[in-house]
Amino acid sequence: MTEVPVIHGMGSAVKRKEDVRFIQGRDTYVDDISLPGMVYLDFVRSPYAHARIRSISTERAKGAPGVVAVITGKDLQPLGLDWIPTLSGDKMMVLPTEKVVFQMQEVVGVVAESRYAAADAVKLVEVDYEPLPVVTDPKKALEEGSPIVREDKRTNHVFHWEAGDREATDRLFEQADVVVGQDMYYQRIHVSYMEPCGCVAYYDSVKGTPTIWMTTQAPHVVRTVASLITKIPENKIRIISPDIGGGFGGKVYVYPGSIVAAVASIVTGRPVKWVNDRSDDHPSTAFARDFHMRAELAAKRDGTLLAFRVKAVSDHGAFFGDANPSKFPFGLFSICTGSYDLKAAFVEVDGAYTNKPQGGIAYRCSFRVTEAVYAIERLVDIMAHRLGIDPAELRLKNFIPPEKFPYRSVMGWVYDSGNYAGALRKAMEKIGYEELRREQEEKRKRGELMGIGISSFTEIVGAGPSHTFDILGIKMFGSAEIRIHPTGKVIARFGTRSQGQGHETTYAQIIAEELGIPIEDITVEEGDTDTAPYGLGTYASRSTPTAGAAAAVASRKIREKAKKIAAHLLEAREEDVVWERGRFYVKGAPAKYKTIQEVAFAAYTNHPPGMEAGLEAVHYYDPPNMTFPFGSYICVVDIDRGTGEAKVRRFVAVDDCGNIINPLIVDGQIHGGLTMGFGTAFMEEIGYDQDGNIYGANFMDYTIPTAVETPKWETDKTVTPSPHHPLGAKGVGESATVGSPAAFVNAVVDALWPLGVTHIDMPLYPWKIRRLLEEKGYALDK
Amino acid sequence: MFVIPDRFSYTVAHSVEEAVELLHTLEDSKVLAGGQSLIPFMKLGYASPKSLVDINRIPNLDYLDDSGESLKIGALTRISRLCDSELVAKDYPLIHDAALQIADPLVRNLGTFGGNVCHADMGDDLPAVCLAMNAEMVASGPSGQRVLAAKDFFVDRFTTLLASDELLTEVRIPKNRRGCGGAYLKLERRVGDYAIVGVAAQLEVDGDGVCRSVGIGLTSASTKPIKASEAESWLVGKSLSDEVLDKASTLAMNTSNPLSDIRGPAEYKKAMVKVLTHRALKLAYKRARGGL
Amino acid sequence: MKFEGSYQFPKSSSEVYSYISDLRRVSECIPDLKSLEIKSEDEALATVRAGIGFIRGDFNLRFNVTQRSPHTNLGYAVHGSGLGSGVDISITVQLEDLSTGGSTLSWVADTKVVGRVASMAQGMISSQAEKIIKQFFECLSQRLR
Ligand SMILES: Cc1cc2nc3c(=O)[nH]c(=O)nc-3n(C[C@H](O)[C@H](O)[C@H](O)COP(=O)(O)OP(=O)(O)OC[C@H]3O[C@@H](n4cnc5c(N)ncnc54)[C@H](O)[C@@H]3O)c2cc1C
Repeated sequence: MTEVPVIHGMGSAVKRKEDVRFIQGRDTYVDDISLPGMVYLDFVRSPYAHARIRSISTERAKGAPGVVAVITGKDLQPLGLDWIPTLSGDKMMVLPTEKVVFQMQEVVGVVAESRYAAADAVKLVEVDYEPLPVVTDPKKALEEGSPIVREDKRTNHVFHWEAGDREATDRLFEQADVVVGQDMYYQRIHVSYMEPCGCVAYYDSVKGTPTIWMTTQAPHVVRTVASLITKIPENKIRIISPDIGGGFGGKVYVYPGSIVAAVASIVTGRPVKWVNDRSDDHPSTAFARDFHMRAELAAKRDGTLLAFRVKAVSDHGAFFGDANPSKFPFGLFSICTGSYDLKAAFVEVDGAYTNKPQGGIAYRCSFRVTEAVYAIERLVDIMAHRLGIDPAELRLKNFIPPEKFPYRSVMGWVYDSGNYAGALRKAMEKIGYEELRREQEEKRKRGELMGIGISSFTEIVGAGPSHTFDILGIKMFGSAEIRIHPTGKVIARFGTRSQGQGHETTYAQIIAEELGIPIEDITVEEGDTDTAPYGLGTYASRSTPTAGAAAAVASRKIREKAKKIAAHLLEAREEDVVWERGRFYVKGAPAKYKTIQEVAFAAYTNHPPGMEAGLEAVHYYDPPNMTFPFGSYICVVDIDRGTGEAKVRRFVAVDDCGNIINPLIVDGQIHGGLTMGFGTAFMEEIGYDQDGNIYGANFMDYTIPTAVETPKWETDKTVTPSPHHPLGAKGVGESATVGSPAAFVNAVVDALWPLGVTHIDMPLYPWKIRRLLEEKGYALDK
Repeated sequence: MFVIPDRFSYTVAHSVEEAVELLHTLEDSKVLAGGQSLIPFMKLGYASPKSLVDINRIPNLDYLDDSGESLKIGALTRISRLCDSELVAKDYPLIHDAALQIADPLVRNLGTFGGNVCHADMGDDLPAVCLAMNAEMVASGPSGQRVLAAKDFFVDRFTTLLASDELLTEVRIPKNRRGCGGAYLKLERRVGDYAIVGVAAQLEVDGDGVCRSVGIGLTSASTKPIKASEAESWLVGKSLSDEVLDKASTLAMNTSNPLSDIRGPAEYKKAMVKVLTHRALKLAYKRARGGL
Repeated sequence: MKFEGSYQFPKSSSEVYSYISDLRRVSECIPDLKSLEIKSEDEALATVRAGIGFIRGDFNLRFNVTQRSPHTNLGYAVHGSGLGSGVDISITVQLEDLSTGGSTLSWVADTKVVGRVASMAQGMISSQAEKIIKQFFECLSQRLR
């Protein structure tokens, strides 16, 4: 037998194929695209969070050197483009005609021969504003007499949503021995991708074809919506999402910049580039979280958890733009019973409009699993402390046991697989939990503050099954189109869009595994609506569960045909042909074989009579269920009683995302996610003052962690395959961001609990901790 | 609203005299040194000087010289040079501590000692160092050279005693002798950020550990860099017991008048002046006792 | 942000009133004034160069007298922009005669600064706004002595 080539299939920790070009700067981001005759779009932005526009004077700007067009809301009105629909059935202002509704909102577009000319002319546009009362607190926004954000609505109330069984839950609360409750605010944060949003729009007036290169995570959705709004036939619209420098959900959304750029291209007949500066992008694009909740947990005295309920207000800013599946206006928050075998749960959420940009949209799970996990994991910890039971023990006592899977939660989700105790026990062992508790005990006696925090999260990803999941009616399948060339090389295209997740490698590995072709021979393409199969894009950890599955199934279809060809070549009956990774042989005679490459060649040169030539397959995968990755994180912190700083000493993360395709990529996702969770817990926050001024509008004010303060992550795994995914895999992109914040907060509260502290809202700024230490008489002045 | 500066003219000066002449004649002019504060301010539209005078090509303004009475630091000395200098690391731990905590390596490679003190924002770290070390600032203007005491130099936020046509050429730091020690402690939200609060402490103690002289400079403790003079005078002549340090740090705290902002509420910053002053003095003392 | 202050003058409230209700004379006390255009009895347009250190910019401001109640009350509104920010100040002035002769002037200024500079340099803006408004009243009071 000849040597089997190294193909880097499932489980291979091969380095990412795409990194070669990323590291060398040979990638193509939107801002790298330059077309002949291209002009540049910049925006006048509102200094006011809420103001009526008395007048806009564009004369001086129009006369400025290099200016080719100035576009206002009034110019968009006749085109029906001054407002556009959002993915949540609301609509959003592109450019204002009456009033502005958040600070840094785009007001007027200025198009010029260079970025500099555009920026200079922006300063010449005169907008006369009449300031209006501002509301930035969603709870106040829902009160009688609040300023109304939206002229087209009579109220700031966006929706009321409920899930679960209110009565059953209330009943259990009444019967419970112990009830704990906590008000919590999950602050507004920004995704802080490296590449700000932008596009290059070119309308070819001869062909009547708009082509837009844009920073989007879901190019097909953009195309369909654009066609529906503008009535331009969908075949004429081409959306290209080139290399994307991070999305995290912030690039699912279509921003006014893209719409105005497209219109400007039609008006000027020239390609128009719009790329946000960081100082434009950070205060005006989609935000995450901004969620006020009261969560309560009921239990028996022996620690049996009974029921969970949450009453919450979510801040959506001026437009309700969440990219949620239609049936879930508040995403998948109903996963909030988490890893625990509860008897009942109930949640109700009211959405509010405020004078801010859209909130709750993005960031490594804004299907609201992040908020849900935070709520339950905080409350379980509070309950443990209240009952005097070790938080690990309380969790172990209440986990859904492995034998109960598939497990139907009281909220109606069917968890595919899990072994929660396995993950927690592994994490405890790795970190030396018992030893740490002993150390903590001793330190407490000496007046030193040390805390240990656990988070045992359950995620829900891979949206989703067509019976429940759609966006604007479009089902949330995954798509793959695989074509084998005569020489056995492969092109594979997908309806998803990598923004740094490593799809070019992961998908290639799946195909390699299924077809025995080395990954170097497999080209993966995404993001061009003219070539890629239709798909809903990449967010919410859905690519591997959906498109990854589609890759496996499409590969298997190819293998079936290949087998027929192999039988023909081997002059054997199909039933006698056996597949072994990379080759077909005749049963009982392994020396007599044809490689997949030989078969591919034959598919074009010597295929069986009556069979179609070629070797390719398309698959649209409709997942039978979501996948439910999980894990247990343990964090140890030490608190400085003088400065209030909480330093993370250790952090152990045990993740379970089912079968792993590429361990290196999974580890990378977890490291990145933990770092983001760390940022959320300790330093990130977008705030507003009473006048609607934003705080944290750039990277000088808004701090994200660097390698210096980021703890050393100690990662490990357990493997509990998904029973329904073709590869047994689950999503992993969001696990760490979703799961980790509660571990940090739990650790800090654990340290302070003996002083009577039950909760601290994130970010855990040293000044907040110091203030509590002062209140409890525990602060040191040295 | 792209972050792009307004129009400005740009001229390169090749000597101190030429720079002064240009500053004097050009309309609304500003010195451009490392550009790490000035350029961001221009891009953000905070400042729109009409003319920039680039001093980076003036020879012999980038030096560390301790051959004479004092340590002389050329205005164009890059912050990274302070970090890398063995002399500074060994003999001037206060400067070394501070330099290492300024911004990040990229900024430090360009940012200059002179620019940091002339920018004179409350969050710049070197002004506090100059205040603690009783530095002298040497300036050249149309009417010649003058030497200013650090304690008078910092007038207000972004405002120094320098006239608009004056160039800072050198900063002189009293030489560290046996029994001297210093430390800079900075509390920051994240590495590379401006201080929530920073404390520069410079001590000289005699053989019995009694304080002979002391300087305390505070960063982000007011709208401008300030000196904790009361704490200083209280410390002189005393042994540095914990109680003495407590009292000194309380006095330093009382001198401070910080702003509430994104880096924290004023009360917290005040408390931190106290905590950090205590810790900085302690570390400075340790270093002073350990000899140079 | 609300700032306030008060002054006492030897002059009577009606004398003070007649001075401070004259936009032309009041405008002279606007600090760092670069240009001024009186549009009417109730409206003036001013360009002010304001800031701290070298952080300075031109602010184009519209001054309106919004309320006139002779001898007792006066209202000004300032609206405009500069340094990428919007500025809105509403000022109310109250006059009262003293039994001992002379009068008191008390003012309250409600200041709103919005936009890029306001959001990036919180403390700086409020302290500057306060300084400028105080300078304005200080100047008026000097003239009324
Ligand atoms: C991301 C970032 C983080 C930073 N973090 C910190 C920090 O933590 N701590 C800190 O202290 N600094 C920090 N800085 C500022 C940095 O240290 C600057 O380099 C320094 O403040 C200014 O030095 P410069 O040489 O760049 O001066 P420039 O920016 O060139 O000039 C600053 C000002 O000083 C004037 N000036 C410069 N040289 C002279 C001279 N010789 N004579 C007269 N006037 C002069 C200029 O006209 C200008 O007004 C940070 C900067 C950045 C960009």
